Amino acid sequence: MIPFVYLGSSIFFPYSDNWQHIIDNVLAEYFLNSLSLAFGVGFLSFIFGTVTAWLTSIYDFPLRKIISWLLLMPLAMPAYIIAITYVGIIDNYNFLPDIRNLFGGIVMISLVVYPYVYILARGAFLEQSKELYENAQILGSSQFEIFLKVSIPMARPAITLGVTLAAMEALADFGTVTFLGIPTFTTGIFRTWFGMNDTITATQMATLFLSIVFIFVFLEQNSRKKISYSENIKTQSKLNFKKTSKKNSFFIILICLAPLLFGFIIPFFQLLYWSIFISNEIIDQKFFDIVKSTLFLALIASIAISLISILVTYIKRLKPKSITNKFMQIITLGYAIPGPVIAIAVMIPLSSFDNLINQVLLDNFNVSIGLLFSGTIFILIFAYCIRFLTVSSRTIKAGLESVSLSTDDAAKSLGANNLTMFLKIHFHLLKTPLLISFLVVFIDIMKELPLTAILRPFNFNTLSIKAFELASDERIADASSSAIMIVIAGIIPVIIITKNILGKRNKV
Amino acid sequence: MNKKIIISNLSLAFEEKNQILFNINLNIQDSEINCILGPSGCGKTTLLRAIAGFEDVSSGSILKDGVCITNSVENMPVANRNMGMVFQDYALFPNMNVKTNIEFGLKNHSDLEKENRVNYLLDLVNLPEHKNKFPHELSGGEQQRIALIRALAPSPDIILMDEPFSNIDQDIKEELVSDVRDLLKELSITSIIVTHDQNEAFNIADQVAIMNKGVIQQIGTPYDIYHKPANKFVAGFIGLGTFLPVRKVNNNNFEIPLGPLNNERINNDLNKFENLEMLIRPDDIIHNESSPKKAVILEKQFRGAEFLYKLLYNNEYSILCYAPSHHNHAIGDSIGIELDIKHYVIFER
Repeated sequence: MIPFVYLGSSIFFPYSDNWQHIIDNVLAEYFLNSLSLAFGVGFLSFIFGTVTAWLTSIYDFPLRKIISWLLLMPLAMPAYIIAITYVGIIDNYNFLPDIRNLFGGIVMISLVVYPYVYILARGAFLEQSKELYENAQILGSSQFEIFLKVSIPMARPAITLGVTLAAMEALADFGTVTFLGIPTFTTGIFRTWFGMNDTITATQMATLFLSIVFIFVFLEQNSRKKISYSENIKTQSKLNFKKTSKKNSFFIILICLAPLLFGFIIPFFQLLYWSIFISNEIIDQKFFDIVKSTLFLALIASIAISLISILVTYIKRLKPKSITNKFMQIITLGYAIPGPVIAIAVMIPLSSFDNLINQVLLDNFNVSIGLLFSGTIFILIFAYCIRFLTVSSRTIKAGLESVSLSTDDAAKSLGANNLTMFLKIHFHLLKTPLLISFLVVFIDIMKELPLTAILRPFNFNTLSIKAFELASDERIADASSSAIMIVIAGIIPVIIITKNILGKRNKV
Repeated sequence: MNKKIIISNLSLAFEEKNQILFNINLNIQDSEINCILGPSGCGKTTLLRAIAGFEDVSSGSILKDGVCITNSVENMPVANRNMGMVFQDYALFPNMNVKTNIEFGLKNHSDLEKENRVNYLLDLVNLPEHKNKFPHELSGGEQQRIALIRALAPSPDIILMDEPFSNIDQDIKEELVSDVRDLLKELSITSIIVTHDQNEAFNIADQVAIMNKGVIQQIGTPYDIYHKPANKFVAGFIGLGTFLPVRKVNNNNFEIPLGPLNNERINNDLNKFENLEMLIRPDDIIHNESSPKKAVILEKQFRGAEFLYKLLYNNEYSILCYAPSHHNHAIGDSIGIELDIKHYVIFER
């Protein structure tokens, strides 16, 4: 909580002269770019996500199964890595349009975040009842009309969530916009902090930005409250996949392959090619050390985050009205907050806390322990918790919600306490969402750039930092070996997740 | 008869302005099957949950075997009340099979004891072959019975059931209701069943409490509730019927449009009221071709063994009438009717 109080209180700090400069020259641009980025990415991912989700959940065509899970692969690709790759490609082929602009940024980010919309929309489409669909057919609607007038509105809560996640990812993006040279709020905060060395102004900007994000999130949550469609119709039967002609199949495959091709296949093989044939980077002990420390960090942090998520969602279930709950709602907004903002919010309070401890120890015992929290990976894990708790707790919450509340009452009436109830019932039912949330956080941390870059302890390197540093030095091909490691590591969880989701679908 | 549970002046509000229960007074008799019957949203489930210990109350108290288990200050933990509960959606633990579900509440038992108990209970409901199945492999009726024996497994002295039959198909419901009644009677366990379905309540209950808008309207046997409803709500909610105005002929003599009333059957002194009306059930009207009183058929409903006719008497009063199914008349026909009523139910309009 302290980080947020600190951010909030920053509006009372004296305003430096830099503000004048920022307001006069860059604020409007930051604002406009961030907003366009969020809306652009939201819109593009909506198109990519819903169209592919609809096609793969309605029609039966060759390769449908394989395509429907391949469509998730771009999730393994961090936006800044895809941007680095395409910049590298474009540098080689001059006739291609430049992507080092706002539009390029929107496309790059959309190509890797549309799976959020895809996965949620597809889930919703597949759940939609056959009766409903057939009813619309009897009433004379064409396929396309059903898509627009029945399927999309019915899936609106899921799609809204997916689009919001995509837009937030764009809003919080740091790596891509920095690399492509798009001045946004995120980069602006970073520049003010490290470029102008003006921590207070950076904090104030962060607060301003955060208020905008909060309004955004608030609107989304409110809109979802209003449109909670009753899903009580239990007798619904699942839709059969529709057979379609060869010609149509061809077009469907083509449409579905497009985002996959640009969002994963092309950049993946380009990176692979570079890392094998072009890169000067040697795969040595040093490289493996970086791999090891990356995995170690991601592992520790994702375990910590999963545990906290369980605690948070469980408290919420047991005591829906407690204060912890309100506070957690704020904490779980972390996903929408850009790395540099969180970095500021944790760095400054923690380092003053460290200094305080140090001073006390120095005064009383004449020992110095250095920066206990802010100089170790503790601060990184702490920051990751703030950033990724949303992702993790949402998944676990959804899992927990599928267990009816009367199950809890039943367990209690049979004499179980909260702990037994969790261990004997909830834990078993939560295994899948737990695994999923763990893996999602794990990938996210491996990909994470700004927090890690700013807060890492001295001499601590991760793959993402390495890839970005090399790419920023225009050594894109050299960056590829680190980049491809991140992507490959990211593929594994994506496969496990999809298997899990698809496997479940088939059983039902 | 012993009072197993005494609920006195119980009120419950979720928030300041959202009061659910108003001054509930209800005694639950030992070893009897009690039903709380009311329309949806009347607070009956909340009352049941308060008895179970899931809800805190604002005022009043609940005594079990003479010991206070709930008042506005204290709420004995659910687990210590020795009550079993069956939920509307059965709430079987999806990750456990039937056997482990039933064993869940059995603590401090050896494996052998558990095994015996599970077998005994499964035999009670004739489902021994489902021991190792998972909830999703069972039909609704089977799940319901497993939920019931799971609640019975720890030998509670009270069993609470929240709309236990609402998810059961109509064709097996009646049989299941009577099976459950037999089982509860065999174990002679005090039961409280919440339902919105009066047929269900009448089939299963020894005592019925009618609730509306958080207030108990009447407590009585199913027979009394039907024939001697305490107020207009109960009269309208239970069974079918219409109201006919009661007119004062002279002192102590009254009549309704269908004829004079028999003074011996009037309990209250009606002289002090004005604007009275009387409940006429369809079974209070007999179809008799030779009767001089004629009524015109407005609507008819074929019910197999009988017709339910909606009639208009004297161009003014609508009444309902059951007639044997071979008396098939057309809408618009005029048929002879006669009044044959034993219980006078008269309210102020």
